[in-house]
Amino acid sequence: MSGASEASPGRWARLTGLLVGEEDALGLALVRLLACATVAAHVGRFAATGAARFALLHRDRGGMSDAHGWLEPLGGAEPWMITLLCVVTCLAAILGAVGLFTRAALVVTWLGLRVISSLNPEAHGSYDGLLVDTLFILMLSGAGRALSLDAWRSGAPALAARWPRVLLVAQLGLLYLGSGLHKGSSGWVPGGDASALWYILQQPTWSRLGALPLALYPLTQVATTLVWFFEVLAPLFVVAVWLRESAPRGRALAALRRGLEGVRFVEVYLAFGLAMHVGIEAMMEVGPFCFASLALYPAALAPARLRAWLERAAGWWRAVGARRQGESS
Amino acid sequence: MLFHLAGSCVAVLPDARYGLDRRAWADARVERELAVWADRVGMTPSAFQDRLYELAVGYEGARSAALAPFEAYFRVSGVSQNWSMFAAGTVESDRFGLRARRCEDCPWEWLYVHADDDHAWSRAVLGHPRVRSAIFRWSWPSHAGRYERGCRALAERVASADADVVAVECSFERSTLPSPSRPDVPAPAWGRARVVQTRTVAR
Repeated sequence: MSGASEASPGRWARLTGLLVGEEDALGLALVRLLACATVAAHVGRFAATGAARFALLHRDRGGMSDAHGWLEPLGGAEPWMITLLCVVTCLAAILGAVGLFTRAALVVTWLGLRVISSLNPEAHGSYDGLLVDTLFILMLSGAGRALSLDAWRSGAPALAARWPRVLLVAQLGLLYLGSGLHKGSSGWVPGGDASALWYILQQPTWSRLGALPLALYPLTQVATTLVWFFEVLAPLFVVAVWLRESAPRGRALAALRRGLEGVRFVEVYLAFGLAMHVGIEAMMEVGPFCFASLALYPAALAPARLRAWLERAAGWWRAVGARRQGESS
Repeated sequence: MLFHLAGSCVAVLPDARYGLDRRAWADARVERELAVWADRVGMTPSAFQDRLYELAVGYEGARSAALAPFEAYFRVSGVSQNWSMFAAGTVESDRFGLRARRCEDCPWEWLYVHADDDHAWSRAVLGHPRVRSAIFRWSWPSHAGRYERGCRALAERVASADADVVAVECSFERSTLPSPSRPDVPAPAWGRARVVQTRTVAR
């Protein structure tokens, strides 16, 4: 008993060691940039097409909504309110993306998106929830301390608390796990006919491609099973990120870490997710969900690793540019 | 932070409330799925459905109790973890269409059919992901009331764009998708029509 109580603080400190402390804000900043750009593009298009006025106005005022949502105290939405709401949300998201008055911009974007979602509970997608969840964490974080006009103006060291990035990794894991837990139909669960994607990809409401040739059926079966495993393995992905960035002392955890690092689990997981989202975006029209999901990916890499990757990518880009210039001259 | 994490982990458990609406179970897409699982566990479809309903009620009670301490936090923060996305691929699928006519005896003219370039009236609006999302839900029996009201809203939109229109019809085209085990499928058929006389719609 006494041994356990003596060991507890050490274990607790190790468990929470990943959450405390500060680090380079690059990962958070990339999430901020991608999430805000996604909101700006989506809300901007929603307003510009006129779809916002139809979808969000109450049917008493020529729209299709049954609800007044957060605008009920004002007597419900008027057309000009919808336009103003979208413009303000879009502008705030642009400010959030470029990092000018970042925290205030993130708060307004988060609020704007919540008001928009409240005005018609039918006209929403999972991207609303994901973006609100992401913005809520970002607005409490130091996401504006890198890749931002605020950081450029202040010239201060770009350090931010680490816990928001850890929460964003958990959010990514919860997103995929939650999606996997819902996929309990016979077409998804291994052991069935693995037909789910065959039918989903041809759903007229969402499909970009229309009818698929029957020859592709086996390919969609493989993809169905892979996607299902990808989603239900999300907790292991979160554990892999946690183990990579901490120093587990237990033998079992250390062995698990070696195993996961040996197969580069985090990179393989992210690469599969990237391919899956690009595939979904190419074949289906599901709103900004793919971009909202991919916005979280930079959080899964420790800033030092992320910076090294970006520098390598920039070096490769410069080399390609130099080679092209050499060829043309 | 740990509170946020703990609440999110509970909230990620699937929300069974919508599934408890047994009107949706009468839809062919759900019936087919339930029949597959009933067959797998060796029960008759009706016994399986009753057992599943009991289990779902118990599960939902437990889930709600576990979520209760976090509800106020979720309400304020807006955080939600309901990721119900493409939970099933269904053999049957629906496509929305809208048509109108200019007199009682005139033929119906197609205005909009989803993903049809020849009938693309107001496509930027009706084809927007958020509007499509709402229309997709209307195809389910449990959303019949919303379908009625949504169709009225569309009729009003058509009427305000074209004063000559006297009636608007919303409907869904039900298709059965082929697969290697079922290469021959019935032809798509339009159904579940709702007609709104636009003269009765307040403008």
